[in-house]
Amino acid sequence: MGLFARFTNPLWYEISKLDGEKKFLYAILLTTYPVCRHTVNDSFVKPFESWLKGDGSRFLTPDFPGLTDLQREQLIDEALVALLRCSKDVRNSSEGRIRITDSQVQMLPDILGILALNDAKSRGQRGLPDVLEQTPYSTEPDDARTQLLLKWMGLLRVSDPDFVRLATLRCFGEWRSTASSLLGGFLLAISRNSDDFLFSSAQREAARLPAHQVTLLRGLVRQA
Amino acid sequence: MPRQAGRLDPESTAVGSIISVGGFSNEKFAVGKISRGGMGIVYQLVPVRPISRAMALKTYIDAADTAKFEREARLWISLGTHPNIAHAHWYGKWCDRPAIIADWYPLTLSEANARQWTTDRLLQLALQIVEGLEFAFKQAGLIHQDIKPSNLLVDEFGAPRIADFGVALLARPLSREIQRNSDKHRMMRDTVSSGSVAGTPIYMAPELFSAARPSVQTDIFSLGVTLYEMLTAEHPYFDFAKGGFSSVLRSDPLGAVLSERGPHIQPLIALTRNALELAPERRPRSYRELLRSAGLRPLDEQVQARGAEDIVAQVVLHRNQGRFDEAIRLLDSALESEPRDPLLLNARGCLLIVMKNTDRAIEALLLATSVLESHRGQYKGRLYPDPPANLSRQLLLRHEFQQAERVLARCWEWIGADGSFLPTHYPEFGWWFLYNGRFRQCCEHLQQTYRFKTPEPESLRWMTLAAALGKELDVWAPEIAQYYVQVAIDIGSALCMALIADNVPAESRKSMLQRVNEETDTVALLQAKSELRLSSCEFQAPLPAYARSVILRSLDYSVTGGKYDGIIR
Repeated sequence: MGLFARFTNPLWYEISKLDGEKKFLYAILLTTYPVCRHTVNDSFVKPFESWLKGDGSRFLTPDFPGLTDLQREQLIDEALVALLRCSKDVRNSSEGRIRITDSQVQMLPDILGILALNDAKSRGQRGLPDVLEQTPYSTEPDDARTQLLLKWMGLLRVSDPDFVRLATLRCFGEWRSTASSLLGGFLLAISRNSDDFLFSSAQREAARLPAHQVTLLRGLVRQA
Repeated sequence: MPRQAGRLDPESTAVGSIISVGGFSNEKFAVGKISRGGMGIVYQLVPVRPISRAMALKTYIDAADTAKFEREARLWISLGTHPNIAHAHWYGKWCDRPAIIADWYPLTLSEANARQWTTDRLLQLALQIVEGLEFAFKQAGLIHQDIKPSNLLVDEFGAPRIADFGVALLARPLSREIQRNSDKHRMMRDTVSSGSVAGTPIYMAPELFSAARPSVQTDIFSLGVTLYEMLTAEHPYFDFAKGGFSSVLRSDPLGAVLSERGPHIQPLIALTRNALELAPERRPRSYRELLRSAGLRPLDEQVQARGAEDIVAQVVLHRNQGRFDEAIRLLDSALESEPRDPLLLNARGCLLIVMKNTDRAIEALLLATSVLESHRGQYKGRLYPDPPANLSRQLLLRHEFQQAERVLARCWEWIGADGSFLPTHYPEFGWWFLYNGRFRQCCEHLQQTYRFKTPEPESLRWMTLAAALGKELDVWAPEIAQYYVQVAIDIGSALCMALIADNVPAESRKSMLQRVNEETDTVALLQAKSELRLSSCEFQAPLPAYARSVILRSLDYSVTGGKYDGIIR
């Protein structure tokens, strides 16, 4: 990696200087985080949005204009925080092909949670903690899903609690399975590719990260 | 944030906390809204498993004065289920505090913006509140003592529900039947001995301030203030602009309402005025008298109008001849004098369905259902589930499954309470069994229903799904096949026949498929054929498994509202 990268992609420049295991961990984080967001969007937020436009519209005020980009991102932030909080027992099923320790694997949800919370804060959400453990979400998937929908009710100014029941039935059928398999599945997928592929993906994602995430991650890298 | 039941402190329980209420159920709830009042904290409980509706958990702040709370709880629960009284389920302790669990209702009357409602709806609202109050008095001798908009909740169907019996008072000895119950006997002793004046001053009758005893008349006055406020958004005697009480009813705001809404509102204005008489001797002494004073018939007399059956027969005649306007005019005229006749209301609802005015049909059927529910004894075995069945059918067609479920669940409660009567003519109950996971009962019920009426595709789909989900498709297949032959061929029937092809005797299969093949001009059928390759596979192809997946995928939302989504997929 050339000197030029120190200025164009300073985060990856610093990560690339770390020893193998840590570099591997940060590369996983950088590649996994955007995929987690996409998954949450595709599996929950998009179905939810289309339900809101149909049957679910009765819960909204008549003048509700539809989800804004900011609201959509806020829904993803919250859902990701809730999902990570209840993603327990992440297993490294790569049979040694991913060179990070089991304890690092177990920490993945927490580290990804820091990134998700940081994103949420950058979108004006106040009073958020820095780490998943301090969020109100339960580690039980069903509890966390209900808490998430209550939070979404607040974001969308919905007052009828039946919203939670119906949104659960219509849009959250895959919540439990996603919570139990999301990160393990990613690790397996990563293990099926070469290290070079992982690092080049991570480098690309590092260059795309917004400033607040770069600042946060550089702080973490320096502590590493 | 605390998350586990048992470690909670009611004061620090926050929105989003996960709790359970031992003694009530093993279910977990997330805490939604929290309202802190003078007497206690009310928590909205949102079930974690999406199988039931939201509840309200009310705890009492002053743990030292638990007797008062206990009295409220006992009185409230003793009222059972009435369509105009908030339904309380359980009383006990939560986190060492006295607590009561009731249904959660979305709005209070003060939040409901009732002034935007139609005159008909306002009149019905007033009548329903009176009905609830009269029921509480007749059933348990209760004087509410704190009637005001914030203690009148509005349920999901728009009907008022009287809540908060915290300061209610027993006005007369309980009936012999109730006295036999020792708990209720204790309740009577507590309340009679506590006979103090309580309530919200601005809604209280003037005589209460001069040490008069609370009575039906004082509740009637509070109701008058509530109705006045609902109509005019002002107080009948207190002028907030000038800051003083008047000894004369402020009639200008009522006059404005009358000129704005026209003479149809007159009975409600008369009722409000009469309730607001300052001198108790001039105020109606009973709810019956209050209604009569406003030119309205007492409720139990209204329930069955004389000649209603003849009117309905004429309406049916007009309808069958396509004279819908004539039919609706006839009904409207009859309902003007008998606005709560369930027979007329049901007929109106059915007529409006035919006229494709579903919103107004639902309004009429809702009211008919509510009247039936509160006067069900008079209708045992007759007309009985007609309005709720019609109502739930309309709700199902609008995919408002949870509403339909509630209507049928409530109706089932009355039927259960009344004994042997079984609504065998009503396929909606089949859907209800299916929705509640009682698959075999669904099939049996629909089978019985089809003895009386021709099967229809919608309910046949329910039966098929119930048989499939109950893993009894093999048992029911021949019946389902026969029923499908009776109804119009559509994609559902074609799929179903394919699904059951292996279970039906060869001859029957042959004739059924013959029939399918004759319907060549049906687009849906052609689609079914192409999808399932019916014509090419004859009887041996592995259709059932494929058809099963197609039919289940296509049926889930239309039938159950996604309730069995997880199972189906």
